[in-house]
Amino acid sequence: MLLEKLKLHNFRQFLGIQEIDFAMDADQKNVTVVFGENGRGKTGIFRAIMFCLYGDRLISQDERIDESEIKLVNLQALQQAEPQEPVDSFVELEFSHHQIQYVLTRKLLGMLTEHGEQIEEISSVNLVRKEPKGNSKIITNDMEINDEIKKVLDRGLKDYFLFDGEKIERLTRASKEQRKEISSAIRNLLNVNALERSVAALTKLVKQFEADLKNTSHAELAQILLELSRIEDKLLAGKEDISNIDEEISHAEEEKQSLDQELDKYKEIGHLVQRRKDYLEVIEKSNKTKASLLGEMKSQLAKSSILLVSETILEVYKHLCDMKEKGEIPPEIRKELIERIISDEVCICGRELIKGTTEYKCIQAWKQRTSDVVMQDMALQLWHQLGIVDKSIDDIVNSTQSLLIQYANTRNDIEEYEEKLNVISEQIGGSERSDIGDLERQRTSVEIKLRHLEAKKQNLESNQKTLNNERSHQIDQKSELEKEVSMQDEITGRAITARKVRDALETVHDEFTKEIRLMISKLASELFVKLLDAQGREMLHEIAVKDDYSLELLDRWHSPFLANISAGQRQIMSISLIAALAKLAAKNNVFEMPFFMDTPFGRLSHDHRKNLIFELPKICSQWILLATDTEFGRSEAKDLKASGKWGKFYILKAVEGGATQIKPIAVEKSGVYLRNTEVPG
Amino acid sequence: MEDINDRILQKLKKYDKETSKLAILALELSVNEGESFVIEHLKIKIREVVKKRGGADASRKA
Repeated sequence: MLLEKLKLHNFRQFLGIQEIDFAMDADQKNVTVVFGENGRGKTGIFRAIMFCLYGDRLISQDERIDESEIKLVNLQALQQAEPQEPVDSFVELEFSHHQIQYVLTRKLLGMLTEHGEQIEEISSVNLVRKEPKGNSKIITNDMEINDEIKKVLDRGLKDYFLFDGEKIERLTRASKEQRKEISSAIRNLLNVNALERSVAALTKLVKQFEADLKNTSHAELAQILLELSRIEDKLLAGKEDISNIDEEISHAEEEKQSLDQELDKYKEIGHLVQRRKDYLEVIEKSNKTKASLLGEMKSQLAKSSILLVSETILEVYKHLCDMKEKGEIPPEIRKELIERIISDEVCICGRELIKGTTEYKCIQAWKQRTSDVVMQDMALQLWHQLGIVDKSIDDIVNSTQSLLIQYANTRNDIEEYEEKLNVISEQIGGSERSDIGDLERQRTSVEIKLRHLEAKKQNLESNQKTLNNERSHQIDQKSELEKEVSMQDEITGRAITARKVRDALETVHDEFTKEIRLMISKLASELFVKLLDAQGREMLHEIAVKDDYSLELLDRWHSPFLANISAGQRQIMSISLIAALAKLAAKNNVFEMPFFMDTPFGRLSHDHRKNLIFELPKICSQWILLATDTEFGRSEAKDLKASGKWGKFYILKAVEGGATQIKPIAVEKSGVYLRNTEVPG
Repeated sequence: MEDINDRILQKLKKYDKETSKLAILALELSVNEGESFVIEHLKIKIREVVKKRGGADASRKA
């Protein structure tokens, strides 16, 4: 397929009729660059081609967008029309395939409702097919058009030739879907699926013929053929089991690989993670201590409340002590004795006590100072209790102080470690990685699973081997009997012939798929090395297509390296794979299929862009780039001119009302419209 | 793209003429036709081939 011309009418950003003539001389100029800033309609052109070829409104980059949200008819054209007046829109694509010319037109009708809602529908589609001899055929039936397009570029293959450059790196992801996608592309492009279908059909036919044979007189041969059929069924089931186990192994290996990557990352920050773990432990321990200290402080609170009145207590105690020292408590002479002396007016020494004398006054004063017995006992008891309290106050003060100091220290420790933890968490980068121990445990469990699976696979393979031996034995016996049985026997002959054809196709299938995997590896590796920059070339060595069609990238020591390459290198690797497939499918030197790339260089470094610009036009029949100013500048234009392959240049220019005009520019004058992207040195 | 890969054809041509022809026919049919059509068509073709072969053997013996 070669794209010749694209004509747009009131489609997306393009008001009125806008055209692009693609450069399509495979030997000479085969590169077209459509250049535009973001929002100018590069993806609109990509969408127009997808819409025209397949009637698709959505393209791969419209993830999670509902089809009804995509409006194709130009809004300005709708607004310029009378209210509720339908507006025509179409995309017309001229292309050729194997010297047959095609013009495919898909028309739309759009309208703004009275509420301003934009509605649209496909009004017609037609394909003009013109043979080299000049015979033309107009096809208007949808199904027929789809069949015709399928022959040119099957829907299943379109994403390999018409793609978003930044998303094509998905092919290098080893997921189940990607493996299926690559396997399906290889099988589609190289007709392996037709081979598989023919083997399946013949297997069923063999069974039918052998069932007929059961009813014949050649019972022994029939028995052998039945046994053979039974063994082959078992072999087929075994093959499927092995394939399922391979799938499981592959998943487990992916998981192991991802855990290894995680562990590697972990190793880089391992010391920090360990320190974070230590800090967390310290904080946890300190928090426990803090909680226990708080508990102690609560119980201490009951005792230490006494400290609030400690000064008063001390004062009272001192006073009581003084009183005691002075003999005021307990008094030297009881109050009752003094009162008796005063009433008897006789001292205890027998002397008469005369009122008004100094002695009498002294006794009277003594009486006043002396309290009654109850008070004395209470004062004595108070003195005794306060003595105890006085002694314990120091203990309470000491223990409270000690608790407060411990609490403050613990709190400070926590604050300090929390601060350290914040710093270290920032250094780790806020990663939510689980504990390294968990990762290692997970890895061990995956390894154990892998060992189990490998053992199971070995067991199955050994069974297959035994079955294959049995099969060979039965085939030998069958051959012997066949010689005995007359070849004129038609029923036997049919079964034998069908089996021979089936076996031949099966053998060819196995040989062919093995060969193409090796050839794709070889071709893709050759191109990959050419496209890489010097550093990548030094490091990366070979693209390998494994038995399950997953890709592996081997470094110069032949060790797997795919997990470590950049997104740009993945893009280069995917392009190499597609180019290898195209080259392998090509009957002549160049596979007649365009490489139509939206955002071709977005992720590529300068050297990768340069290499791609030099190499890709040589290996593909046509290269169409939809590039923006950040990826295509004067430097890229200079390299592309130097390749001698650049034929057409268009810029997408904003015009009044937000529409876009497609303006052809002479390649020689491209520099005027491009930014300087020269790389120093 | 609808053509059969040359490498497959070359490999099939290494078999005896009868096997090779039938295998290529099976392959060609499988490109665009459904399985039941392929089976029925091959059934008829193999019957014809075997019948023809039987006739040829008989005439050689005669």
